[in-house]
Amino acid sequence: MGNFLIRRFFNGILSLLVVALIIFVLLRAIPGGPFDTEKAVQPEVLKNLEAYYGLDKPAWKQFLIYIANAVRGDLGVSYSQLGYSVMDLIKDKLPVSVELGFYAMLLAFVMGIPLGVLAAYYHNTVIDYVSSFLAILGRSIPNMALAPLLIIIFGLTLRWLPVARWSTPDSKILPTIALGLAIAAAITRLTRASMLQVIRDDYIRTARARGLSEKRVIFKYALRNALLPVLSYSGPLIAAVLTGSLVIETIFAIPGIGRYFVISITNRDYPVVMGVYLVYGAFIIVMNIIVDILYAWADPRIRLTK
Amino acid sequence: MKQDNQKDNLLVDIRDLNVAFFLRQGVARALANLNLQIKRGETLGLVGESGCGKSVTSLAIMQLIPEPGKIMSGEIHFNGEDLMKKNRKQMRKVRANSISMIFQDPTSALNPVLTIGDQLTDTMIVHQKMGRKAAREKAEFHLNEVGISNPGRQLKQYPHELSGGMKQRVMIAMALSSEPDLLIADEPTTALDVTIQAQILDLMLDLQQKYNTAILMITHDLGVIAEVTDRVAVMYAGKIVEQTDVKTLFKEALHPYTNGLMKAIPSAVADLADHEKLYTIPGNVPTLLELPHGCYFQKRCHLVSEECRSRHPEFTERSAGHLVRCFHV
Ligand SMILES: Nc1ncnc2c1ncn2[C@@H]1O[C@H](COP(=O)(O)OP(=O)(O)OP(=O)(O)O)[C@@H](O)[C@H]1O
Ligand SMILES: [Mg+2]
Repeated sequence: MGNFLIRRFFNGILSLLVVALIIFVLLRAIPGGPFDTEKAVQPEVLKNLEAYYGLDKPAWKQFLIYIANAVRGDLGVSYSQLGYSVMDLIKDKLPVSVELGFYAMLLAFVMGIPLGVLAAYYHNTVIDYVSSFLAILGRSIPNMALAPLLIIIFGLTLRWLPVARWSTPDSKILPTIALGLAIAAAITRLTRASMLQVIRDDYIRTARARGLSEKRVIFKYALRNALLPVLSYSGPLIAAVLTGSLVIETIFAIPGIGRYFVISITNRDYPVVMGVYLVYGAFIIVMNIIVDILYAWADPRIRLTK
Repeated sequence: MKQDNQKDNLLVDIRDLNVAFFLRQGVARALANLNLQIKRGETLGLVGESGCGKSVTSLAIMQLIPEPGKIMSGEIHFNGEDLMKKNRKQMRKVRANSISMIFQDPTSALNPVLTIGDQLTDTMIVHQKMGRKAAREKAEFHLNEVGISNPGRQLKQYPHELSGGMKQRVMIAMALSSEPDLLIADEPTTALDVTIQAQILDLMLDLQQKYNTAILMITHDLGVIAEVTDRVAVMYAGKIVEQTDVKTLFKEALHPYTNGLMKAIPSAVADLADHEKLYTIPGNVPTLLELPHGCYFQKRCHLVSEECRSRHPEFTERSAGHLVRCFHV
């Protein structure tokens, strides 16, 4: 376990370095720069700005300086918002995004797992068809289409819920649904498929042959096995939530890090983009380690040695 | 009086059982008017080629035929009661208390994410209303009984931490913990090392003596049949074609199919040259989707006649307790 954590930690650091390098190169490869505006900026002003932010140095030097600072916890300052350090920005905006992501995941699991179990248990009945239909529907509507739809129906027409922002509890409902529904659908389908396979397994027949009730067979003998694939899928799922939140935060004007990230790319605000990428990367790495630990806990056949 | 006695002696009495699987390609008649009796405390062997319906027979007794299969008609009397008439809850009681099952592959038959102890004690806690501690003690007792040393430690282990033979011992302990009247063993040694097979069979026989449990021993190994059974039923395409005591079977089997099976055993005394010419029954098992009119064995039988093609031979008694389904023997 200790070895596992140390090894995964160093692997994680290495991955982050690679991510940083790729983003650094890509950012400079896309046309345009941080100080491009509609009005022509005088060349001297531009020069001064670039010198101030160290953009006049050779690219490799810039990268090394960035990494050296990052290790010390300094991710630079925003180009577009004077005096705002990237670290402060992350501290301000990240909690909102984490909250949104957490609610979306919660919705996905709370909805997806029972629906998937029901569909599998009532395989080839109306319950299965309805649940599968909903799941396919949920998967096929992209969240950037679902969000406006929800806003129009529940916000503008029925006037039940606020259409934007992240303040009162009821303002959090629509963004959570918009972000979580597709993931709930994915979990429903995965749980159903996995459950259908597990209830054909021999140990389920053993449990039934021992006179245990269907309820006990499903919840004690089948579910834990069936949830193993769902658990290993939650790693990549977290990445899906992150990318989804970029869109949802922008549509609902939620002051999270995702919305800010989108703005920073258009502004070529290099330090912000780099910083957010690294935070996302670190987050995904940490979540995957947690998923692996949970998996080993749930499946006694797995040992955290390799 | 004698009649009554015999009736009391009968533990399982299956009458005209029909099971069908509703597949996309059509209806597979897995069991066709199957009749089978098991006496109290005896070991009945059930042999036949792969796919002839041995497992389906055992699952029908348990009322656990999987989708898309269905019991179409018939009666399954167990301890004088028709299991077909029992509701789900009553049937669960029967499974928990009176009929147990062990399977071919102990590795897949045990739940990989639950401890041995958890799986062993579950039925005791649910059906015998035992406390956790009492159930653990009983579980330890039964593990000891199947020759597992240090049962306290084994209870905390997961199936993957045990060898195949050990897992099958656990299955036996689990099966016998309810002191059932009937133990169904569906090829209990096929997946095990040859050296372990004999140990497991011995263990089953010992415990059978102790608890006076009847065993339905499903196998395609005639060696196992010779070693452990009292009576044998030979099955072909969902029907019993011959049924007799084990001695008679090996001495004077009548049905051409049974004789074919006998000839196909590699004999220990035969020399190598004979081995190379090991007998196989010509042809294949007919597909259950389109069984021939008349006797199901006609296409592979050297005694086949017009009669065999026109109607199905009845099960007739040739000598005391020796029943055969054939017109020509
Ligand atoms: N789950 C199932 N789905 C569809 N058909 C099935 C199923 N189980 C059994 N059958 C049908 O029932 C027939 C008998 O199967 P069964 O499992 O009883 O054979 P068996 O005698 O136990 O064979 P084996 O020696 O290979 O275990 C098969 O040939 C098949 O047509
Ligand atoms: Mg079988």
